[in-house]
Amino acid sequence: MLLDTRKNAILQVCDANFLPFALHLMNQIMFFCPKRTFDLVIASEHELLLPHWALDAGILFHKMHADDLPADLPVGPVVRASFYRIKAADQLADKYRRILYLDSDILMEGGDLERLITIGMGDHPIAAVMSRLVHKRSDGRAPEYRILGLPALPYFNSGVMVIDTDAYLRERISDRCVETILNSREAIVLADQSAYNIVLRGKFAMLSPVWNWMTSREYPFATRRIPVRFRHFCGKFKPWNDTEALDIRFRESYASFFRTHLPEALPLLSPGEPPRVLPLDRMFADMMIHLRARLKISAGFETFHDEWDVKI
Amino acid sequence: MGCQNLSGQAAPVQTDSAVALCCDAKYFPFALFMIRQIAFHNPQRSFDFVIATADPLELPGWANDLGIRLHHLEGVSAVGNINRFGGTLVPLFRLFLARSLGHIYRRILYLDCDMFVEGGDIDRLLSVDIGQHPFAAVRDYQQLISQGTHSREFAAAGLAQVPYFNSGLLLIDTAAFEKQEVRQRSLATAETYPHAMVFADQSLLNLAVHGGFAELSPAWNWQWNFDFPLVPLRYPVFVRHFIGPKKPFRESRGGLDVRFSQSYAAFFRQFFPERLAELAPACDPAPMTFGQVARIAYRHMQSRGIISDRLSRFPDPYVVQF
Repeated sequence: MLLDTRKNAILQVCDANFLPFALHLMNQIMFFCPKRTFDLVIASEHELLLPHWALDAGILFHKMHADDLPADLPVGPVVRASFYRIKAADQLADKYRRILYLDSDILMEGGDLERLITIGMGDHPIAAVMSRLVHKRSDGRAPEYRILGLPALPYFNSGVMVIDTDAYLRERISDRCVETILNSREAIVLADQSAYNIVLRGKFAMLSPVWNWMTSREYPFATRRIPVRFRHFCGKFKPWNDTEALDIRFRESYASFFRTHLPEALPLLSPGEPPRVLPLDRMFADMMIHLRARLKISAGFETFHDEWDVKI
Repeated sequence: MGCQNLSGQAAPVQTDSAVALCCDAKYFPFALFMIRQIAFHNPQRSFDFVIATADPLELPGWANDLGIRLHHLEGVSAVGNINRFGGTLVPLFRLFLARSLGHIYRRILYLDCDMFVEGGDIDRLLSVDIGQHPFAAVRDYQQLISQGTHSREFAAAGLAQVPYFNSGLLLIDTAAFEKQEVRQRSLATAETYPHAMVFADQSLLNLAVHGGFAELSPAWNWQWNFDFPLVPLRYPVFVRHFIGPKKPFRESRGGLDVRFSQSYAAFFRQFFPERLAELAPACDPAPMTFGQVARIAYRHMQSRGIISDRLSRFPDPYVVQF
């Protein structure tokens, strides 16, 4: 039996527009994981030029094979790069045994990623966090499942995924995703996330919500107690275009990074508001949302003993 | 009393400014924790890091790349009845920085070790204009939330009420500090006003300069973490200061955002695993109750007017009032 000498990697797939945000996250990972043994990889279908400091820090670039996905992808509001993550694991499987895929609109608050990337996930090809979208629906059924007449199966957000590349290849995940994209276009409402969930139909290892916290805006009080690791700004409110809804420190984090590492990216930030004290109407609104959602937050979080608990 | 200018594992001095922390062996990991945060937020810094100590400390290998200068202080002795902080003399060390490092550094940003750095351009702060003042600092906790508070030191000493600062962060102009004999005058107050010693070095310095300091934006020494956690949601804070006995590494009751204690835990796990057990366990992750949320909201409602008024004096965190 040959010894498996492959490493593990953290991967982001992005286009030029999201590269500054991807680099922000990579910079955070380098700070929080100074003794990492995994690689840091940015992949794109385009030939992106990484800045010198990123190359010096060991961030790798992988040029995606452009012919791996059909030319007529149903690209809607979500950019084409989202689909490329489906193929990334195939293309990197000879180098990496495990891949922690991260969206570029994620901000890291901490966490032992060395341990996360090697977490036990049974035979599943993917470990991920349940999507918040499901909780918002009265029947708990994701739109893709409803369109295809499927029951209310578990449904994950594909912004954070631990991928076991062997299982991913063995189960032909990427080929099946592409088939689904071509054959069930009406159900592809959220790009690769729709494809993954339709293919896996609830069969994924479920991670604690702290690894993909999607409700920074909705539940600002919750994270005073819950130790969130990755904040995912999915949806239209991002720290760089929001001036009201999110904690100002998120925007400041990007501003500080751009100022010191990528000054040419500073115009990507919307003009900041003058510093001020949180208005009372906003405070009461947040309070009411928190109090109404307390039980839901507890239920979602208490399912997991700790951040390392995985539902297989 | 005196201090020796020894530098054990000294990094080469490159500039005329430094960020300095003073500590003993107990707080050494916390000093390194902060230096690592400052380095992260200031990757192209032109200032040095100095740790001033009387203990035989050695930098761990991983810290060598940060360019830290260990500065050995000796001969600092007790003054008057200053015996706060468990009898340690470390709080007095900051008074000696200008004398022992003034020949190297024109400006020194002194920081307490119970701070948490969230951002800020430290090079820019180190070069702000503070007029003829020996240092710049941020007003103390009480003076942000109530108008005209007569500080206990000034009241006990029979002095008029004037602005009173927190000494956890001092932007020191070393030449002015020495020329105006701030250290000598501070130490002398321990004898002049022995009944007015409330906060060790902070009492000494405030009594000595009696309002004669340049005032920095509260963003640089944010002391309102427990009572007003909602303010930094819209007001960018650069340096948080966990004043008083409740520190994120000592408290598990959920009074502070859990991310603070998690940051210390992660740092200790990676760099000081042998001391990890000293940290308090994380708080219960159960969401805050109605009572807990209501208490925060009530304080916010009660004080937002005056806080807003105070903060509006500093629309730019790099502009100093003097």
